[in-house]
Amino acid sequence: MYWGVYVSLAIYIAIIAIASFIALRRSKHE
Amino acid sequence: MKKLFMLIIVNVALAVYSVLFGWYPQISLFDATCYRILYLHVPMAWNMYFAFTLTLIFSIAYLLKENEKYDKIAFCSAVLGILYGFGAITSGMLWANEVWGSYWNWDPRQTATLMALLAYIGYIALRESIPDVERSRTISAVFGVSAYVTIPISYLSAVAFRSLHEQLPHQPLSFESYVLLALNVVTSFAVFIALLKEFSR
Repeated sequence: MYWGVYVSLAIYIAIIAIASFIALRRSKHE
Repeated sequence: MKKLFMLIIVNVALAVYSVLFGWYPQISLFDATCYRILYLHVPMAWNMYFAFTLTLIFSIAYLLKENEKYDKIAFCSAVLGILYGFGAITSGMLWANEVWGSYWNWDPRQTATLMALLAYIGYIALRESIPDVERSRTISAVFGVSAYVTIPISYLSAVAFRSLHEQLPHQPLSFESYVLLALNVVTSFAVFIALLKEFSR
């Protein structure tokens, strides 16, 4: 399979992980 | 928070399934498995458009009502929009490399989306550069409204100009792929809304 598909999936998961990490930090902060 | 993580698990599981088992057309000109990028690229691009539209709506609402909550939603939506926009551009570049022959082609859609992303990075930079909180909110709300001009340009660029986007190769998708794509769009959108709720709490 084209390697770019796996890289896209990694980016997709990373974006969700970064966003939820920020959300988690915000909720802990409050 | 628990609801958000449940949604994320469903969203990621569906994304992994789509990448591993999703439908792709039988084309021998290039590695057609690259079509599976669509299952990730389209939800990210739609989330980006939706996020920047929310920034516009809540910037206008802030300018009218001066409610702190509206400003917070506009800002958080812009941050999420930038994250999803980055994903949409990079996944699009990976697709372009296989199908169009190079990562960056100065295609109208690619260029207009990059301009939109830079405009919203400017929105964050402008906001952070003004020390006076009230002034920062008002100026960034005005910028949040004016930056939106890049969004219809980005959306219409593939239709109004001679664009490679969606036109090359002109390959019809199967019913099965549309269903999977719709499921990815819906779950990704649900995660976006849940993230925005947590962000702007």
